[in-house]
Order: sequence, then C-alpha cells, then structure tokens
Amino acid sequence: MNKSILSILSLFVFFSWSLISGCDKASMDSIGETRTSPQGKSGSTARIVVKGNYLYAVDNTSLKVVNITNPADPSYVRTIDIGFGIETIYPFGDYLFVGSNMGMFIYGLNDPSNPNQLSAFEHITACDPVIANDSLAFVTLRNNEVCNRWAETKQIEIINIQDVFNPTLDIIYPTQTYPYGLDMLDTLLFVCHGSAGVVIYDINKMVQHQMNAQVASITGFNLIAYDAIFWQNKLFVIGQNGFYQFDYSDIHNITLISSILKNQ
Amino acid sequence: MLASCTKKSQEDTYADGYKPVYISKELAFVISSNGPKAFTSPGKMFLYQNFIYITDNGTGVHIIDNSDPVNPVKLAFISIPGVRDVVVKNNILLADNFTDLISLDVSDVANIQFKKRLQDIYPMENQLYPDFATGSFECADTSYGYVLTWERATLKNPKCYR
Repeated sequence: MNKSILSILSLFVFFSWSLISGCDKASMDSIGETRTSPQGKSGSTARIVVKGNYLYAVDNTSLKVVNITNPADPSYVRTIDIGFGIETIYPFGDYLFVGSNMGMFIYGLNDPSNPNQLSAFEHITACDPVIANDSLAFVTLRNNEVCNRWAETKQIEIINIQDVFNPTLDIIYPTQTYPYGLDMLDTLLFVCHGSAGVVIYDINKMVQHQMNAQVASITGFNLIAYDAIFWQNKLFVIGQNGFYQFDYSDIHNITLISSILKNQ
Repeated sequence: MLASCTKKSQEDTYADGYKPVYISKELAFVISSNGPKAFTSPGKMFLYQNFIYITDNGTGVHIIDNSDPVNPVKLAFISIPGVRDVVVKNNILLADNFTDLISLDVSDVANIQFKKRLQDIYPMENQLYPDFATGSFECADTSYGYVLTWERATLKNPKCYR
C-alpha cells in the first residue's frame, strides 16, 4: 500500500470539492476536511462516522459497517469484532483509527466494505479519543472516575504511524488537566480540557520534547470543553454547558463568535 | 465485566453509583420531530454545510442553522430515544436509536421524513450498564424497558459492579 499516493488522492478530492464550493481558505482546513465527506465532519469523540459510501459505527466491542450509497436506504454489511472498551472512531485517508480503553487500532480501507486490522498500539487503560494526519496520531489519555479511576493519568501521546503496520510511540506529553476531544490545524493541536477550556499546543515543540508546548488557551464563557472541530474556518466546541464557535484568525486572541448555552 | 457478587447479609449496604432511567419498549422506538428546545445534556456534534447537529444524550438531536454564525438559530429537536451519535450525508440524518440505526430525510426541517430502520445493529448488552463509568450501578431490568439514561444515586445493596 502506498500511503503518499493515497493522501495525494484524498487531497485531490478535497481540492476539487473546495473549488466547487469556492472555499478560499482551503489550505487552512485541508487536514481536517479529508476526514469525512466534504459535506460534513464529526469530532474526535465520534462513535459513528461517514467515509464515502460507508458508515462505520463502533459499539463497546465491535465495528459495524453499513452501506450508505443511498443514505436514505442504509444496508447492514458486517460486524468486525475488535475487543473491549471501544470508544471512538476517526477516519483519515484510507484508514480508520479506533480508540479504545486499551489502545489504538488502525484499520485499512482497501476494501471499504471490509476494514482489515493493520495494527494495534497498546497503552495503559484510559479513555482515549484519537486523531491523525499522514505521519502522526494524537491520543489524549485520561484516567479518572470514568475510566480506570485507580491510576491517574493526564497526557497526550504522539504515535508515529508512517508505518501503519508498526506504529511506534514518539512522545508522551503530560498535561496539567484531563484532556478530552481534540482537533488539529496545521502544526497546532487544539485539545479540550474540560473546565480548563481548550488548550492549544505547538506540535513541533511537542515533537522536540519541549515540556512547555502550550501556545494559547480558550477559557471563560462557562466553557467546560469536551470536543472541538474545525469547520468553515471556525472552531466549534461542544461542552457540558452548550456549544460555542470561535474566530481563531489570531491564535493569541481567539474570540467568541457566538454560543448556545443550556438555558437558551 | 458485568460480574455481580453479593453476600447475603443482615445489614443493608449503600454505595454511590448510577441507576437506570427507563423508557418503555413501546416508546423506545418512537421518533418525532419537535420545535426547538433547550439543551439538557449536550453530547456529540456533527457539522454539515451550514447546519450544526448536536445530540442531547439519550433523548434526541438538535438542528441548528448556522448560516449567520453570529446568530445561530435552533430550528428543531428530533426526539430519538437512546441516541448517542449522529451523522448526515446528502441531507439524510443517520443516528442510533438503542439497538437500531435509523435514517431520516432532513432536507426540509419543517417536514422531516422517517426513511428506514436497521434493526439490531447494536447489541442489547450495551444497554445493560453505564458505559461511561466504573463502579457500582443498579442492575438494569429489561422488563421495565430500555435504559434511556443513567442518573447518579445512592444505591441500596447494589448487585452490579463494573
């Protein structure tokens, strides 16, 4: 399998779409846009995702494949058993990244109706959304009351996936507070930290083992952040108290565009 | 993981944990479109064109028009019992409804059309414990129906533990 050709293909698909829609900031969102159909996008904590003509859904133990060539008339294809504690699913390029309590699984989509497991990367028992680009996967790990309350962990793991058959741990980056969902923008990682808001990390600094890679954060607005998604040149955040959208054009002065909170 | 072991004892024991909130089997698969309502427990977010779809854990999906990002407008709330996640493709919304996957045509928000139900996509076992938590919980009794949500409670003689 040739990953670079696949990623070039997916970029090509993306840019042809962006021409149709007249998006003028295509390069800013190109990493994220390849994640799902150009029409829509899910977050890192998703349990159902769309990729081409297929819907992939995880329950606690398995991956379901549903044909949605005609989405109004979905048809069940198959169930693939994975293990226990499956939490999240994230499509990138021709791969599916599955996050579980025990680790990260990479599935290949050579046959999109029948994803095949390429590798399993184990980590300590913890909750873990995962996102990825061509060479790196980012996993946030938290152990608290919800997932393995017996051992406290707050960290981001960066995993080298240039060889998808043999992912290797690059970096463990300890965080101040529990990390949840995440998204990335070029070399910046936006990580939700619950009541500590959204923290923005410089991926280059993390990869260089610098211990303070934090470049900015978004706090206030009663924000208790659980997942973040870049979409249409805005940052969308969902949290315990509602949803928010931010203007990130100045990364050091991210401003709230609007929000809808619980009482609205 | 659903091990239950208790010793018969004269004294009651109490533990903090979760207890199931049930919905009857008849109502569990009733899907309806309603006017906008406030968030109760915002969950997952799916972004689609100028729309934002946000699940309310276990109860339904909010549809928000974000054509004017300064003033996003809630358009509707689709009641989908047991919902955990939502996606949209070609104006067709797909979401989980307990054990099933359903599709709805949302191209006209004022007139949302039910399209199809794929039964038993999700195993029933996933219903029987709070998958977001460890610790004690009140064992789910499926004769009461499906578990809509789990709420914090002080449990008397809890028999289930995860």
